[in-house]
Amino acid sequence: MKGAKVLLVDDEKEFTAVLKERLESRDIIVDTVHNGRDALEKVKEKSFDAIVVDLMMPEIDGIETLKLLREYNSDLQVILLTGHASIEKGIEAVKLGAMDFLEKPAELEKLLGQIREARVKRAELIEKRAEEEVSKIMRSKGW
Amino acid sequence: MRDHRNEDPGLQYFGKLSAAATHDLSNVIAIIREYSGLMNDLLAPLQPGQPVDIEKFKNIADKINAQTIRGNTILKRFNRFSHTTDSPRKLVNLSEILQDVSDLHYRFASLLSIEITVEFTDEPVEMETDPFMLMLACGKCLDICLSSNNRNGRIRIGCDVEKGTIRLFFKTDDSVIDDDFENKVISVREYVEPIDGNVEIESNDELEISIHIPFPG
Repeated sequence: MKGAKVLLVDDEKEFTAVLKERLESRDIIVDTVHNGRDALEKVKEKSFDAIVVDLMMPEIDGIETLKLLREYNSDLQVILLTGHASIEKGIEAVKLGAMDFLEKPAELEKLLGQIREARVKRAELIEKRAEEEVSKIMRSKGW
Repeated sequence: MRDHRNEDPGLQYFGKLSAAATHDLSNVIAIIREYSGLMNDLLAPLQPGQPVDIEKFKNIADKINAQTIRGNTILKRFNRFSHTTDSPRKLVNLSEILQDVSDLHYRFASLLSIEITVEFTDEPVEMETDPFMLMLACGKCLDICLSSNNRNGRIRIGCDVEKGTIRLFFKTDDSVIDDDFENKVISVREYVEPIDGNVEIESNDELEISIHIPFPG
């Protein structure tokens, strides 16, 4: 997990601050933003292994943020945090391309497990994209 | 079985505010849980007898305390709202009612980045009325202001007394009237009738909704 890069997206600033501190103590590199629009700007600037998004946020909610992020880059691994009564939203999020969803408050071990899984998936996707690129170049050269 | 939800605006309103309050409480619990986890993280590497960072722990304790106060405020406010259904007639303080309506709508306002300001009267204004219907009517007026606010970020609500009438007002500058505005206004009139009030609306760039209720006091 050392060096995993995570973006936390939640309008509860204190929640993101303390979660960031806990993840950083486990050698995870954490960025925080407090709305969907800033999340999109952040992923344009930096790459992340996992993006943890709260469902209920100002202006653009978690589902809309997920759509924006996946529209920008469908390889992004998004984990949605939902309330007790929002399991349906979590399922909807997975259908829209979220890696998974966790009920808030989530156990840190569960979140760490999801981040680990996201990192593996992202590494696989990077490898797959590289292979596709190599094949494309080889085909264009007639090899 | 009949679905009563669409025909009972009171039930819908109660559900909407319950969902918002429990969401806020869930955030409070999530923060407290993370602080508790953080304390365990800080203690885990220490051997018995090793000193702890007292300042750090004191800081965390203060933050947990602040969250418990926040949680308690949400609970008290929601409990007061729940008790408005106890009796169809009760002596209410209008400033308190407006403050509760504002607080209960805080989440919806913050989702739109709008701030609600309550303007208090110099003297407390009390009247006997149906507290739930009054809150429902006020909540509906606030909802209209929230959906009509052109993101200038401010809504003012308050009350004043004039010539035997109480006026509760809901104002938003820089308003944008949507297609459903007329229907929303009709629904407010329906909620105000049971408390013997009437509704007045002024809308140009600024939207002002007033509820007038006869005040015998």
